[in-house]
Amino acid sequence: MNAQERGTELLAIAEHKLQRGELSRRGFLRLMAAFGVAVGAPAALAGCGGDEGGDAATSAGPLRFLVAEAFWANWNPYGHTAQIGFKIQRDLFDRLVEVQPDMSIRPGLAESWRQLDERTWEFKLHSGVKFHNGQSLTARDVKASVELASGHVPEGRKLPMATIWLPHEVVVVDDQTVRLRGARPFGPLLNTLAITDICSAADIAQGVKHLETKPNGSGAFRLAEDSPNKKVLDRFDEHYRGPAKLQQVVWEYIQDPQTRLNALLAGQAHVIDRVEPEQVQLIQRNQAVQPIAVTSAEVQAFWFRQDKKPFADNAPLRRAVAWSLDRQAMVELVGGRAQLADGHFATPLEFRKPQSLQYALDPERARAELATAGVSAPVGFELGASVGFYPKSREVCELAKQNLEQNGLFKVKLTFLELAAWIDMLFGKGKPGELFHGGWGNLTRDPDFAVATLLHSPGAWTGAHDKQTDALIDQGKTTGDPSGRGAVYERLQQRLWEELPSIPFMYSDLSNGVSDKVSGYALFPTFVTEFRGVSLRA
Amino acid sequence: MAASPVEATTAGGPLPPQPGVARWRGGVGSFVLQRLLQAVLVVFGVACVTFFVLRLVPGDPARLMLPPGTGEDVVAGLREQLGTDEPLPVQFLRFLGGLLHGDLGSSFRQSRPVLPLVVDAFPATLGLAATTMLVAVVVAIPLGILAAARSGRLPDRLILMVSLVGQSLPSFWIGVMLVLLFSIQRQWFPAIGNTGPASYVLPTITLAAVLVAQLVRTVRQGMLEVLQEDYIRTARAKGVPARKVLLVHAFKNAAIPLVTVLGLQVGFVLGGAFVVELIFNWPGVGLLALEAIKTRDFPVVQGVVIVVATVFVCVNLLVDVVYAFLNPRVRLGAEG
Repeated sequence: MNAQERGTELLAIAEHKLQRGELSRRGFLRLMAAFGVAVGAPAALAGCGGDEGGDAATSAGPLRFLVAEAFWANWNPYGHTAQIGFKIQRDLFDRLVEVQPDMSIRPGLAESWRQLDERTWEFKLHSGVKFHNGQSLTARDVKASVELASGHVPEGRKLPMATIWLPHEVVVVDDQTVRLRGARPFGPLLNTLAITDICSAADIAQGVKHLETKPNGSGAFRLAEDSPNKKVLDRFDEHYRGPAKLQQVVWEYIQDPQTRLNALLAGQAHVIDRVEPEQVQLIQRNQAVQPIAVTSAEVQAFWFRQDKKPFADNAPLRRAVAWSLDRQAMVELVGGRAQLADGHFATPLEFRKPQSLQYALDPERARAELATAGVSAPVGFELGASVGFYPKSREVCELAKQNLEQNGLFKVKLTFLELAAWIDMLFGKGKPGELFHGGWGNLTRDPDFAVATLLHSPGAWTGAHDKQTDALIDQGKTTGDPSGRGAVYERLQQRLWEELPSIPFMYSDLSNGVSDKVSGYALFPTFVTEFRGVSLRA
Repeated sequence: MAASPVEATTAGGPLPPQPGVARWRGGVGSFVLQRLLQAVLVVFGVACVTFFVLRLVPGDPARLMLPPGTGEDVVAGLREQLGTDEPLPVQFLRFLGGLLHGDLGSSFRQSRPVLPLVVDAFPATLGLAATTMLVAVVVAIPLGILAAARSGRLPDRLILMVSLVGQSLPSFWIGVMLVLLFSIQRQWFPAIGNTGPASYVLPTITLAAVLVAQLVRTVRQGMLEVLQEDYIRTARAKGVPARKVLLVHAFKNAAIPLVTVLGLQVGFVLGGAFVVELIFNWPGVGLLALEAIKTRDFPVVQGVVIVVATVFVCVNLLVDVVYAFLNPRVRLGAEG
């Protein structure tokens, strides 16, 4: 046992004694100071009396929600793919249909719908829906929104979100009825409508710049204050489903996870976003707050750059990497609700089919694949990873390097970068690096969003260009019949698992911390947040 | 430059009216002008270094503002809009041109001029820095005097030990511990934000802890040296009360190096505020700069650095002038 382990053990004993009253807090602190325990101390202290009451706790007021991602997206709901944008838009705008925490879909602005033929759908709208500026919602607003979001109108074509839609023309039948007609059948239609915020036609007519600066939805809350790191949302009393329970929700960006946690434990925040798995136990030890966690729709993977050697056009070599990784150990490193990936589709996704062959650390199979690949060991490459974004990304990548090198098959140069530099490495000039650690989430249960943006060529992040994969993604998107789509996606998942454009190793943990004063708060695996049904006790 | 503490204190003693003062008064303009020119050069140098270092660091602001996988044509269009597509010398000349007109550019992310952004955030940082300096001075001076007066005895040893601990502990550790004890355990003070006077307590203690430790040692050292001077011995022999000897005769001269140290510590406090603002989510320029660095919002980072450097240089200019008033060697040196 080394000195550090002895110190940790001593601290654990001291903590135990403190909890049993056999050691004074002062004595405990002296011990901690003596060992200089900076990391372990928060855990210990949080556990030794977090339930002690205090006068500076929150009074009944607005709900304070601390988020981990900066508010970098503009207010044009179709002009970004920022997670923070989708989160806050959920309460500012409404959609024809709404995704639920269990990923199912329920009616939203559309009270009913029917499919007229394989390309045409008709939606009946709720009456009496108003935008925040007082204007009534009609079928013309839905037409303008869907046509812009789907790229049917020229302005929409350059918008990144348009890539997941197929162009749709919208016919206004009457004020409360619209018909959507796609250029081709569009399998993900309902799920895509569930992330298509409905804007006013008048706002859209004023151009994208107007949409970017002035959010005017019909959602349960409206934007009352818009500063760079803080957004104040006031209740919209005329919401078509009745007013929300909360009068006000204050969203604040705090980049440091420990600071967010401190605010929650000190009673200065009611909900905090992106709690790291190792922080969950600190929350559990405090009686005034609780953690909630789900396995998210985000897949963390090692992505191969497929437009350069050595991994381009060499699936056996990519499989050799997969057989050299201890993916289970990586999941255990992260902890929480993280799960071992058994395919490219995360657990909450529709049409998911777990793959029976599980890549695991198996040097013999790795060696065999390497022989098939026709390259001699060790194969050298650079693994690029971001730090400070995905919990434990550094540890995961260090483990990967150790796994890959331990049998002499690979020689790995590990490059850790902060997020901005990592993005530059991935997409910038020269395209350095051959393997990347990263993650990508899904906004609905439909798999199209993830596979179309990541793996379809051209435009795939890492230069993937497998024609069969492209064809299957296209087929999945343009097949209307769910059973037909199921068959297509089964083949796609099998193809991805064999070809391995990336090695998924984990479905991410998603944990939030919530004050006991809050009720009705649910976690969506898609990272979306909704406060309409949430209430706050004084 | 200011004289060293030793030079300053050995120059001590009550200063009779000197002909040099009149001569210095005649040269005050050139002294201040010289310092001003130096200050402008320093700020210019800082601006240049910041500009080039930011652009050497990997990370394309345009790409960071767009969703991953956005087409190259869209990224190129945004680069053009931001002006980051132009050759570096052209960007630099434009930056200098703006600087000469007091224009720090516009934030890439917030599409707002940088100057108001920095000016909005600066009072919070300045407030924190001011309270830190105030607390540090109020705590350090009596402790330093006490340590010197009881040199070698228990109070001295205790104060030295505590100051050593204060200097050894990193600010982030002190900050986290204070939050755990006084925000989470006791809920006496807010853990984050600036919501009123109570919010200042923990960040101020965090920043002041290290500063107090340094100042205590400076005051003690200065006092010990002055207390050996002949005029102190004379004052004691004449029966001047011990308290008056310490607080009036000795401290007056021992305070001279303190002025220099305090001037230099403004830089430490402003720099330390970056860490403390992150821990306490303090809405100052530190937090603004950290976020801007993450998102490669070059104009905001440049703006913050230039404003902070200007404040630092101005404070030190002020210290030089004050010091020159206090110490005749400096003003004679200035004339020479």
